[in-house]
Amino acid sequence: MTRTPIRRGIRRVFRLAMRGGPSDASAIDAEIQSHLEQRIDALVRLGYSRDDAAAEARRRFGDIAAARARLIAQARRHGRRMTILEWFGTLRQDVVLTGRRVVTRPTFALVAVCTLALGVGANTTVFAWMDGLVLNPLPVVHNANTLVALQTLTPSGGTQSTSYPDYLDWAAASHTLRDVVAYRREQLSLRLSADDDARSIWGVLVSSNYFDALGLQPALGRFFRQDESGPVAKAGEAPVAVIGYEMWQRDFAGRGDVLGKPVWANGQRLTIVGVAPRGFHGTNVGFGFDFWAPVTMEPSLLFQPAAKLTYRNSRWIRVFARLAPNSSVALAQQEMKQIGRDLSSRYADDKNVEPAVVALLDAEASAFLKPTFTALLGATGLLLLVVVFNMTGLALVRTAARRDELAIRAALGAGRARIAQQFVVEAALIAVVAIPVALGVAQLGRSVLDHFLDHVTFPVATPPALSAGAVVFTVATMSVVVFVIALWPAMRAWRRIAASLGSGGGRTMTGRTRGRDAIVILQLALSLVVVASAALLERSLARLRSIDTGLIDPPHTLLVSSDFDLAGEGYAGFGDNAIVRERRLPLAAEILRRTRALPGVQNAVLMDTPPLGLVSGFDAVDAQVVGYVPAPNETMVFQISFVTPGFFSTIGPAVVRGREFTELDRADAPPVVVVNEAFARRFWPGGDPAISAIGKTVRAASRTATIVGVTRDAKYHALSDATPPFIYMPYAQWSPSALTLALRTSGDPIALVPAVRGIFHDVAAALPVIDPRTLEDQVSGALTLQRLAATLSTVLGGLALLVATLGLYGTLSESVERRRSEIAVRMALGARAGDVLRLFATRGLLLVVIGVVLGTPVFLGASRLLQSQVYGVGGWADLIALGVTAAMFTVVAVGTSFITASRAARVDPVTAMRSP
Amino acid sequence: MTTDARLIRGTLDLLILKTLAAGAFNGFEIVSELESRSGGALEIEDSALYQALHRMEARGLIDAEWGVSDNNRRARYYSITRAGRTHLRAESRRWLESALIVQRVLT
Repeated sequence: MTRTPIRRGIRRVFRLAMRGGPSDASAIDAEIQSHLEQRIDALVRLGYSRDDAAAEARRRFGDIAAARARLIAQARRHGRRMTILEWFGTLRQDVVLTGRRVVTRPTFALVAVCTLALGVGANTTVFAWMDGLVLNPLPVVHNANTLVALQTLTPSGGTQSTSYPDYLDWAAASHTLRDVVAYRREQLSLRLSADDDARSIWGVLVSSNYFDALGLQPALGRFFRQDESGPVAKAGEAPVAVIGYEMWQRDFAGRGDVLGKPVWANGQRLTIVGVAPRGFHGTNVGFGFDFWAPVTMEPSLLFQPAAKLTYRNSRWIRVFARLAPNSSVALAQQEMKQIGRDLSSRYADDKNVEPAVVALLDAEASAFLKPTFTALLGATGLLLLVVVFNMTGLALVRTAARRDELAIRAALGAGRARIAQQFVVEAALIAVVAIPVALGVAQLGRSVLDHFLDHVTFPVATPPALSAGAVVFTVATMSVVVFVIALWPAMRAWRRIAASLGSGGGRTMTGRTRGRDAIVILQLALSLVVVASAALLERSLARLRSIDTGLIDPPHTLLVSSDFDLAGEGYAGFGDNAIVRERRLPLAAEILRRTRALPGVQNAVLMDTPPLGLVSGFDAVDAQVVGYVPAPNETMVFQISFVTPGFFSTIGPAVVRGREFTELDRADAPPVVVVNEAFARRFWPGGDPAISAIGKTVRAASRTATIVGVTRDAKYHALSDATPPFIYMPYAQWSPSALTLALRTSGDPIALVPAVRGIFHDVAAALPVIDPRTLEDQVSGALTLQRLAATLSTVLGGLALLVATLGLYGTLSESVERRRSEIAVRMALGARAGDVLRLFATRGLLLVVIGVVLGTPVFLGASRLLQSQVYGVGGWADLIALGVTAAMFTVVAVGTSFITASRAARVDPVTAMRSP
Repeated sequence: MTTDARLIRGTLDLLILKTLAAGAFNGFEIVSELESRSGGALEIEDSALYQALHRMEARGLIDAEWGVSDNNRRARYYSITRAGRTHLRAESRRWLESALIVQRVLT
């Protein structure tokens, strides 16, 4: 007899797969055959000959072929319907089953959701930033991939801004580019009504084709017309403005009557003619521009001569353009070279400069952020891998624990797909819960990132953390991760089950742990990479922090910025710039006098631009050193700063030779300058450059000035920059419009801010008070990106180490559980607790050592990639970081092993041996 | 004979179910049983029978499994399910009622 079939009813009770429909083709054939034979038997019994009986049986059956085809088709149809119904049935079962399991044993689900949410959420945070700032930095802009940035090349091969007439010539001559756009970002003081408080904003002055080139439509009103800022528009004749969507919503409540309303920019009345589309913040990534005016308004807004638009050697314009159809970056490059040559031969003052297509606009715009975020994405990616391995390990352990249940299901006929489905359903349920949690984590991460931008002095436009792209990214990542985690153990479980069914069952599933050990080792190795990289970045940050900036007492120094030009109206009212300039010195002196009288203030000084701003604001001049013949193409452009007496002794850097500026270096006194040691070294090398420099003369801006002092080298822009030659000039001899008040106090500098505001208001009510901060904040503001990278990678490294440690703990304690009876036997035979302890501690340590050994080459590779991100850490630094990390890992391993091993050592031989 | 040609589908199902109510039979046995019960008046085409059987099996009215016939041939044995019995009861009543009506009108 055949094997006893399992009846359907039983299958149904045990929720087993119901196979087939009524029949498949071979069964139908068999049934027809059986029928014919029975009929023949019956007919033969009635006296038919066998042949006649066969013929009669066929006749009675009808058209056999047609009947067979119909039956098969019917069976197929039914089969399909059953498959779908069955699938829904099993799906429901699996969902219910999983739900029940989660309710009764919630630990695994809870751990899984938390770990996955952390891993994926961290990735979403960084991805959202990458997406917004680096991958797709100009979101509203139409076809950003055909926009190119153009700059003027300096003779030495660097890039600089462009003059307005050059820009016009490029635009007129180029065929490979259409919509060649000029723009210039300016810090402006803005008032929304005549008696409004002035606020400091960043605005963009643009040519009339700016918005067209970007493919934008106004949310309201219009953009600029040709006659306002086109090629033939005159300077200062178009007092109009376009405001940003956010400003419209925030300050004008999104009302339609905003058109035609006046605003005052640097005291000049402009009329709002349009509103930019939502989400558009200009073309400088990270800057949140909210205000646009015609580029032809530049001279009048900045109190400069209208001729600024015609000077060919006044380079202040930035240019971008849309590639013409059928053109390319290479073609444009070539054409620009030719245009540059033509212009050079035509204009004497344009010698040796040529325009160059620098890069795609969006790539250029985000280039400075790319390395940091790439590194962060790498770190979060590694964290995610650690999480994946960890969860896989956990899932494997759990699968092993469920082996009996799975084996029974398999024995009762559940196929591979059916078993896999159960795992997938479980995974999907976990994903469904983990995705919103991950998005929450991403939102949290976003606010942490925002926190780092607190010190940044320009309005920052950041992408929303939960953009559609970020959500898609989260869902996709989570799904992939979860299914990888689910399917591996499922496949493994199936192989084991298949093997154990073949061998007649038994404890085959508890056999080897090598796979799980490998998973733990991988986690340790990968987290080693993250932690050691974090250590490297932290060390680099510490180095940067300990750099000698040349500043004397940053924590006790308060900076308050302003600008006489920004005061606008009140001063412009005098009519002529010269008068404004003359009014500056008495006002500056008054501010200094009153500030010095504040309680606790040791000294107060003024400078035009504070050091170490995130955006370098120092002026630069062409200068000749008398008696020095520059090499051909040698750049003789130097950064300069205008400072009042006491600057060097109050703020720093200190003067090492010669003297500081004094009150005697007045406007009518002989011009003097102070230079830094780098300047002295460059022009008077050999001997003591600082001594040699004193008394020499420098010609700059048509004045000849004597060097009266030399300062120590200091940091001026980025902390990691090499020290450039630098020139200081007396504030009184130049009276620049920009001013930053710096005061040193014995107490809390921030406490003095209200008093300083009062002084500014009393001295000149319209003078804006911009961004009061301590000099220390200013310095750490310069380190924003580095701090961001170091802190985030430390957090990520901590998470990775935590997850890997949990993995280690998991595998060790699982092996303690598994070897419980073995330990009991050993202890019964005389092994002491110490021996057991050593057994497991050795294993934990071994796993860590292998992990460290495997992680080391990966980290060394990663540290090469980080080269551009780290400062002042030599060849040994990565090895030191590695050593510190490895030591940390060892401590963690020993600790973890000790905890699990001491549990093993407490095994009571008697009970352990009695239990199965 | 041509009775089977006019035998409407539902009626054949009903007859099969009625037969199976007495026990499990294979296809050939069902045909033989129906023919002998009707005194040879019903001649059912075998292919139509199997279509009906398979259709009812798909609907869960009957169950089938392979077994061995009296003279030792492998054959598929059909048995009526609970759903099949319910269906049989309801459909028999309906059939008899409508037959009665038709009879009343005709006689």
